[in-house]
Amino acid sequence: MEPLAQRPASPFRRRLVALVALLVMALPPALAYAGTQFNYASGTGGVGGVFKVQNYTGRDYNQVWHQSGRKWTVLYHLTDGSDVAITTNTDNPTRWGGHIGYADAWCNNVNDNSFTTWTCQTTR
Amino acid sequence: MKKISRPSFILGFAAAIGALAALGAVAFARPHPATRPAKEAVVSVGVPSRAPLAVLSRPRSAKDDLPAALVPSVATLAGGPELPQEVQNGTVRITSSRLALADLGAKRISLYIVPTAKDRVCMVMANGPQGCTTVDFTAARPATWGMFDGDGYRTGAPTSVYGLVPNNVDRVTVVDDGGASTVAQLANNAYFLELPDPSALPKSIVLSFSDGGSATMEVPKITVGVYRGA
Repeated sequence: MEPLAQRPASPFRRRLVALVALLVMALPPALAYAGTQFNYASGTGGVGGVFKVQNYTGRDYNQVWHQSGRKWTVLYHLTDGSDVAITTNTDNPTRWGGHIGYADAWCNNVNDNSFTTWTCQTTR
Repeated sequence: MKKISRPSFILGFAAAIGALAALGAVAFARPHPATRPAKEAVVSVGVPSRAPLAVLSRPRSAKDDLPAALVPSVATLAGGPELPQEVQNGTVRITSSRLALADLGAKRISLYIVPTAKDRVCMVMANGPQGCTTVDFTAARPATWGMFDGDGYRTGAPTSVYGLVPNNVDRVTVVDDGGASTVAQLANNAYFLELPDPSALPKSIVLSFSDGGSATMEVPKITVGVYRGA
């Protein structure tokens, strides 16, 4: 029997291989991008500042790491201008642990004037 | 040497390209620029107990176990090595969790308290706020407080107020900016309250101590996330 490597490929088989190759190339970056945690703002001070991803997508959580005892707000901002899934507290992280289908993520420094570096994170 | 078929070579090459692109996508996740600050709020003082939270020394039972679905996210409250050391909370002691309050508000939320290896305490609610705090209560910081609202402040369902209190607090009253004073549910060093008015936000939180003293914590005026009308 002729080895597979030496057999001339049919047009259908060539197309199939090309399609699978395309999927193998496209899927890993897509999966890596979706659900990946990233920092959307970081710094020290900035009391009153509102920090935004400025991008709408599905998100798994929204949080800011900061010095415990300082007040922060996190929220999901919707395309119609409304805000949902809001929490304001002195806990570290200030986190909303729920998923949302399509929203921007914001964090707001209410009164953290410490010298500790804060970091706002969400997923995309 | 074994000969590689052409399709295998193409698929292998494609997989390598895909893996490189995935690394690129992760590396692309970078911080975005910030905006400008505003002014600070004020907290008033009281006289709290400095003893360790009593809830964490009471015997555990099966109902104190965190729901399995919550465990992975609660474990991440430790904070990763990429964060400043003082911000990391230490390993979260999942098996030491306590159910502090149950059936809270219209959504019948459960509130759990979980200690960490750095002697911090995390408060956890499913599909809501989760975070940790130090519990070295002082006159300047006689308790912790937080608030949350699933559908936005001052609209829809009412805003909820919650926090941790020292062992000698026997009553928590929340005064809102609509003028109402409402007594919060209090047990196991935790309190919770849904404000009676959906358009109100808390203005101050009054702690009553079992020895007769009291302390008032002023809640800063919140401007971000507040409903401004259709």
